[in-house]
Amino acid sequence: MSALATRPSPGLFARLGLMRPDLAIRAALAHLVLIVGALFVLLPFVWMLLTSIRKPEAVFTAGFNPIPDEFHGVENYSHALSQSPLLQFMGNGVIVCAAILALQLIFALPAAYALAKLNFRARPLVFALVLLGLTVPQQVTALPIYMGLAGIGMLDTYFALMLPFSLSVFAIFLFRQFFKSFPDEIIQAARLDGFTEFEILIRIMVPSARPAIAAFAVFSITSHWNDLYWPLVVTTSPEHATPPLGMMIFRDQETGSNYGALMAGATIITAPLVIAFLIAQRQFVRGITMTGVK
Amino acid sequence: MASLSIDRVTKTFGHQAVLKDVSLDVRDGEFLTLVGASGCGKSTVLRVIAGLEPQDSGSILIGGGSVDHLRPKQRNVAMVFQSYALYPHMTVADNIAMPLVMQRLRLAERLPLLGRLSPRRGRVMAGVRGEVEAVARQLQIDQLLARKPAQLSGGQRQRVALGRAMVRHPQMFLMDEPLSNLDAKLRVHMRAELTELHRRLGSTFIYVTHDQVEAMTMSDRVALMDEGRIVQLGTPNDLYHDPLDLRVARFIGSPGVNVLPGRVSASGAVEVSGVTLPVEIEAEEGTSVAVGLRPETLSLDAHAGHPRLAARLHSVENLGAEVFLRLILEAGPSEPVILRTALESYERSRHHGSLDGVIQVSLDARRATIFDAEGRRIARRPVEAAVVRLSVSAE
Repeated sequence: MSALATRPSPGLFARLGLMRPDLAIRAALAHLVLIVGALFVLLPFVWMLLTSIRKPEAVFTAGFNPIPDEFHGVENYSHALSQSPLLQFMGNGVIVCAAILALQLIFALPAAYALAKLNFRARPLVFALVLLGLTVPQQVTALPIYMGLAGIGMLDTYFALMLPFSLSVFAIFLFRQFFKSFPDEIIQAARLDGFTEFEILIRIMVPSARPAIAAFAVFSITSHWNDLYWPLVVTTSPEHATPPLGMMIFRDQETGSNYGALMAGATIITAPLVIAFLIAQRQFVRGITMTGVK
Repeated sequence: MASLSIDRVTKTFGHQAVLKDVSLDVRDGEFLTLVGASGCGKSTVLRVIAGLEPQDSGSILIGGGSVDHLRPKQRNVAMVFQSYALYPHMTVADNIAMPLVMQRLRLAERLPLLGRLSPRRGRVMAGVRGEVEAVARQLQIDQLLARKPAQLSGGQRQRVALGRAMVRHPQMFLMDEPLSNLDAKLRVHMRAELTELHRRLGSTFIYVTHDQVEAMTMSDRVALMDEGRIVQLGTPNDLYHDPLDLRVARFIGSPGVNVLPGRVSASGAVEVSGVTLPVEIEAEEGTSVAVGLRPETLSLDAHAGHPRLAARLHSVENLGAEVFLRLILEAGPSEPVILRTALESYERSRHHGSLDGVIQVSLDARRATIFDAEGRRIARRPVEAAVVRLSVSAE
């Protein structure tokens, strides 16, 4: 509306505080599409939340009443927290996700700097391998890595949960794109000032790459917090189970029909991610737009 | 402070030869400018001197010793970049301090947390802080030490970049178009300031620019580069009045030199636009030449012995003290030639109505420069002979 207000002579619609009809229709259509999309994405979560405060008997009642008649949240949540080691699962999730992220950054940042800013003979080959690595699905390498871990007796450990993800070609690619746009002259000035290459990386490149690191951290943490596939492959005991796997074990142990408690558990393990994203939202969006990924 | 020798340096990027056999000697304390159009290789010369790009062949000597095997930081040269290249997340004080910190602290002492364990770190950093403040005061940026580069204007960033270069007292300053990101007024101001800085520090300055005005006004000597070679090296006066190559004549001077096609006559004189220039050059009869005439070699007033060209007025540029006239020669190329004259002379001519219709423009042939078809300067016969002929033709 402000754009319309600055026009030299506002038309009838503007004077009435309305949008021009063609613009209004376009805006309404755009919002309609966004609302439908949001419904698709958000409805399961809404249902999860509603189920988590319903009585178990009410879950399968024929009536499709979205608002529960009776608040059963306290029972469901206390049941979820007391009947399963939910906090332990979440602790495992924190350990595994943090370690994976740390390892990914330790390996990817130097590799990305070298690929973006250093000239060496094998650079095209290495970069081609990185791109090739992006195309290999996780499931392809799962079996060989599983057998390797079995061979050294490291199954069902934190190490097994972290190993395949510690080196992320996606991270290398993302940071390489980001570093590529960093001015060469600053790096040259640093070399003249006496910085070593490693110091250029940690004192100049990394501080400038904070938005990209934040964006990658969100990608990495969500995907490994939510990952069920790999923990299911290498973990058997609840001691090392990550939240989704823990939920599965929990469901098997319990009667399997206490959906209220199950959804309460799901809500608890989803909450940290949602909160983290809300906190990092601005940095995350900036990182995405700056690296030109997605 | 040191002299510099560049000895037959070549450099190729891919298949592109950027430097083709560049040799250059710079005296201790000299202000030498490398000037040329973009892509002529002048910035590459600086990068090779600094050690940021290794040359393919040839060698670089600083203070008489070869530095070819030394890393950039060991060469003890400071560079100021066009984009200033300040560290974006560091304060002005940290930016200026960095070269000293890197020089004086050992690698382990520079580590983020571990470094603080070293007992001498605090002492070194206090010394660095003092020197940073001294340099900042010299450059009048001591009020800005706590700011980040993004909060500074272009001129202030420029000063910070200079401060970072000055703080470690390098043997030599390398400047890569440091003024071209500034607005016109500030550029003129910084030009004077850089000249003053050079005088005060007494260090060797190697200055790269594509702006011939900067080259002419600041330098002791100028090297004009084109296509990876130094075309001419000399004082600003040499390059302006005595260009050895048509490319030099064209590049130096504003407004540019007038270039007219000419032909060598039987006696070795040059015919141009229907008149014969009373010069004698060492070329065969019938040779096509290019005659370079600076705008001030043309005049509205008649002078004895100066041939006259018929022209019509095309347009006038009045700068106040002096006036540039664009003239179309009656017998000559269709693009205008430029004449520079004092305001009084222009006003007088206009008052007499002599600017209407055909104007007679006199030409000072002694100051004309003549080039062959390849653009190389053609030497004149010994001066006495030319003077004799000149006096003969005057009668």
